[in-house]
Amino acid sequence: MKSFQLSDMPQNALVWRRDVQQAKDILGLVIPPGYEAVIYHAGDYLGPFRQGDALSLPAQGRLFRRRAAMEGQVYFCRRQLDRPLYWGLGSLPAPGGEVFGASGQLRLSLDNAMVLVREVAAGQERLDDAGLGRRLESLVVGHLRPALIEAVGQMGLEKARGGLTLLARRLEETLKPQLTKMGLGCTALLVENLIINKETL
Amino acid sequence: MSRRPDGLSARSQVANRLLALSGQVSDSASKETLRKLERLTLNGPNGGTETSSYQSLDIMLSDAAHVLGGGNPAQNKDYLDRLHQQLLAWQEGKDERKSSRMSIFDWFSKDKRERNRKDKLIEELRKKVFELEQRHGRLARDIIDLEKKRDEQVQLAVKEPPGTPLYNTAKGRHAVLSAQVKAKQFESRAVAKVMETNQTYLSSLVEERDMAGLSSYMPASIETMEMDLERSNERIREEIEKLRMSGDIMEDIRRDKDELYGSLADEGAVSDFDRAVANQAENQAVLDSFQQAVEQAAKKTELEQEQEEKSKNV
Repeated sequence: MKSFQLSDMPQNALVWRRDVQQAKDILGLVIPPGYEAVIYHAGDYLGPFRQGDALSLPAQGRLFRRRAAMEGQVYFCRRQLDRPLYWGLGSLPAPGGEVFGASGQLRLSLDNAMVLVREVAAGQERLDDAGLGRRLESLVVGHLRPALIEAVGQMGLEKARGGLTLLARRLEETLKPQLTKMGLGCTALLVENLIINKETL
Repeated sequence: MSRRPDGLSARSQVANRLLALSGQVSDSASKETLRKLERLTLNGPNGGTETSSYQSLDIMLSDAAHVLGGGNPAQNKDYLDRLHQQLLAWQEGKDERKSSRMSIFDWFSKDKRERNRKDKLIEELRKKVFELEQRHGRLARDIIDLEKKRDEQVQLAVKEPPGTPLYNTAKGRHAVLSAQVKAKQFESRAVAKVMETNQTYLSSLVEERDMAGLSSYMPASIETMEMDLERSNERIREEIEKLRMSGDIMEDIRRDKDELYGSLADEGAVSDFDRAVANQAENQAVLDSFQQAVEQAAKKTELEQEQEEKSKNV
């Protein structure tokens, strides 16, 4: 295994795993601003290593330190995901028998690298925006959908369409705790479109 | 920048401990504060680990899970405020020393060797006193909790006539809780005594070190010799005092232990419970009779008013 550079990390990835066979593969690698890292070694997670920390695997023992296998995995995490994720929901019931659909953006950040690696990215070579999008589908359907129906039910369809920022804030409040459980933070949740379908259910 | 062997800087190490704590506490306000402290740590300077402020911070972080797990919001807030202050003190690094190791030249000076030994001893003692203070605080909180639980048993028994199963259960629990309170009080007293001895020893050591520092500015003369003599006499007196104090402590602890076991063995603890229940019942009876009197008076007034109205109508 040749040593690697953090600049090789794919631009659209939030987490990137590198396998380490020898301690020298990561020797002298210092975490730059905007990144964190977690090491998986001998069945245990170490870190998170923050900005300015030097990566290193724990020593195996004095006598056989050089010969001992130093296998481990380093998970590099970006503190911010550059590109937003897009979400959309349709055929949602509104008061008065109307049906509506909504869509928007979700901008993610890193909240807890240790939790993200353990709960979401363990064993995966990378966790990019596409993978995260798939992972968050159930969250959108399970939490965002009922929250959206409830909020529109309370505000009324016309008022909700006129106050998308307020609507987005209410949705963000619902989604934030769920994201925290996955080690993710929410930089912004936007509702960009709210389309009313005049057909009844 | 001080680093641990696994590459984590002291700053990251402290931040990671705060992060782990935020995952352990159930109280959302404490969780939020811990995350704020984590960010504060990461955005601040990297403090050293060879300082007494770091040692105090380290102890506070080790105790945090126990204290914050108590579920008392006021207590949690107070602890987190103190943790915040300690974190700032560590980041400021006013007590940072360049290095705890002596230079090669200092090893040839008897005075410097002696001073280094005293410095180390003072650091250790300060750490120990801080640990004891924390432990004493924890014990005080435990005692208050146990006393509260014990009083709850009295409240439960007031509603029951003596001898019923519920009354007896409350009585049994009361006795167990009383024993636990006494054991904790005993431990707390022992800790307070050890703490006091350590504090005395610490202050005498600091004084001795300061005196030694002062003497280095004086000319070598008869005055210096007199001072040295005085110092050695003082040291002998302190050693005697320390021995006497340890003897006193042992004696006190032995006496407390005897008292504790004696009180657990005799029926006094149980009769205390009966007395407390009887007092509570008596107070209740007085309150009940007072309430009855008030109700009767109210009824009487109502009747009088009715009669007055009738007489007016007539």
